[in-house]
Amino acid sequence: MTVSTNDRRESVTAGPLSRVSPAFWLIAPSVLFLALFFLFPLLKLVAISLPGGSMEYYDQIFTTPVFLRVIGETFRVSLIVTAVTVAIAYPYAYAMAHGSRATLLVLTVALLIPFWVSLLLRSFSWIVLLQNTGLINDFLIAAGLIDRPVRLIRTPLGVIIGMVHILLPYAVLPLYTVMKKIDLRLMEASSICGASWLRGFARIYFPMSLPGVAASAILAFTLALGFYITPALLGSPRDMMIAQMIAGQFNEQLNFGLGAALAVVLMVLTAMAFGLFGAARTALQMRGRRKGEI
Amino acid sequence: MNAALQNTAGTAMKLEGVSKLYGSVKALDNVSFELRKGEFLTMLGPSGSGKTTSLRAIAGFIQPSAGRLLIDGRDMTAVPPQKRNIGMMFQDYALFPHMTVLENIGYPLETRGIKRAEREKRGMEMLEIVGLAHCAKRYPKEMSGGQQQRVALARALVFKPDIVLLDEPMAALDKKLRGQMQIEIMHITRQVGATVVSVTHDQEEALVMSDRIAIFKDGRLEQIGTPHELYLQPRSEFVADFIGEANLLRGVVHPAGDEIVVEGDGWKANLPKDDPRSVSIATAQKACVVLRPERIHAVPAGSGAPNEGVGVIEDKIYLGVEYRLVVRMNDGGKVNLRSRDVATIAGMQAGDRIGMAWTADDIVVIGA
Repeated sequence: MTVSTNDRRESVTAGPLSRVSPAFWLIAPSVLFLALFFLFPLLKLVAISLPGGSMEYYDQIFTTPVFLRVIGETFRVSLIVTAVTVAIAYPYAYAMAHGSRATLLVLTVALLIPFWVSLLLRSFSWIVLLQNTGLINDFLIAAGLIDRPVRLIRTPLGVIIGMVHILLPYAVLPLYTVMKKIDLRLMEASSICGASWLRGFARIYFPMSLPGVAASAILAFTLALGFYITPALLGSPRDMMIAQMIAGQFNEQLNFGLGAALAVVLMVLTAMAFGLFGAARTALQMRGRRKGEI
Repeated sequence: MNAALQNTAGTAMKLEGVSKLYGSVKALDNVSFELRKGEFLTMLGPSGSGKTTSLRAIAGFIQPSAGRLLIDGRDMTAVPPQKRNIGMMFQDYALFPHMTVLENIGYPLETRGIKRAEREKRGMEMLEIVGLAHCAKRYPKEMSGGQQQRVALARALVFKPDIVLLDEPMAALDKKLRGQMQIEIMHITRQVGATVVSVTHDQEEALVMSDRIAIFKDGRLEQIGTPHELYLQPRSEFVADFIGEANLLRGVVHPAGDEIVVEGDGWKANLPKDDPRSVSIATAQKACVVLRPERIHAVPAGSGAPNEGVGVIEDKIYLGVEYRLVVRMNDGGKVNLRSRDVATIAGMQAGDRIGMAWTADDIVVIGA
């Protein structure tokens, strides 16, 4: 009985397609979809940026000060935004990971409800809050802290505030995942070994949370590099970021070649940032190993 | 225990009426005892008995609701853990995963401001003692459970703490390793002259390792003493039952001439009136007689001895060096008996009536 069942199974799987793993058929639709709607347009984009194999658009980008300034500004704003976002996300995630159930619930809801509201809507809301007659200025004036409105909107500060707010959930979640797995008993062990809370945090908790910091920084940074709507709504034209410039080339200048080249530059720089993060992490781990071998 | 209280010169730690309330639940209820320098004390009890709460209160992780904790004569009740100079081995060891073995062991020295070279020297000395000198550069996850435990022990001992706490030291080990590590931990802590408080629910572990055992029940300290004292003179049925194997016979007390008799259905125990044990139950109506299985002699039924019980053999088990008998008493209660008197028992069968004899010295009487 058993033998015959085995025979049948073998005969079924012995067909010509049997050499392909069944897992392949599960991922095949996704692979096909990505090839058709991501890989192909991407290659097309690269092709448009190189008309007849000429590098003229790239030459133009790297020799025109305004392009270089925008690229530099994009990285500068993204770095600041990443630093601020991770700095805020860290204690937030800590409270979520080690607080009471009620704390976790409140913080999760507070984090995710804005997450479900569209990006456009959230950026518009910030206009309401930040403008000269907005909530923040009205409050500060009413409280007598300032005489006339502080300029918040159409400044780099406005852009940073808006971007940090939108990126916060992306930074909190990887941190939370890592922190959740850190056993607080280790902090007890640290304190019974004679360490103050601060020392224990610096020597035990923080090093153990570093993978979470790295993950959340990478995520926040790469997302920040591609921001479009938020800087467009909350920043001045001087604070233009690269995504706005790409959109401008496509929508207004109708210069598809230059737009495509800018997009490729953004992509390559993002990939390089990724690579740099990765290299830094590997170097850190190597140093840790070597340190341990003394 | 009164003798111990007078001997304050050698006192490492003292708990004075320590209680801990969680809402209306008393996790610890007025616990007082003291720890002598160089002693290995085990807090033993079932889960929820307060032994772990006591340990965490000593470590400083929880604040007692009432009472005082003195270490070396100084009041430490409100002192945070990092300032108590106590070493602790955690149940799952709590080794720092991102540090090597040597860095783990050096950490308590680091927090005390000791320079790296000195840390590594003392760390290596400690690793020699626990027999892991070759593992100094490894990370905890690269080691077996037994090795991790030794690292945790080394970390708890390296800074010569006033007291070392062991939280369920054997819980994370498999059974085979336990016996070996019990002896080893005992040797190592003696070798460095540490004063140890351990927590366990395993009475065998407590008997093997401890100079004294503190038995906890429902948040209270039930009895404290050497394993020998607890075995021979349990002060409550709980202690009698918890330490070793015990038969508990409950009967009524009445005087008879110059003796006190505790009597039940089919058995009686006689004690001289001037025996201290008699004094303790003189005013009681009822008492419990504690009979250790190895102190009962099998005799033919109805021999008429002054200390005797009769029952029916339910099971007879041959264990090579001895026989083990389960005897059903008249009231249905069971008595376990171990005997090496092979000649007497060989002829007895399950279902036979049997007499059980003992002397006044073989029993403990607890007033009910």
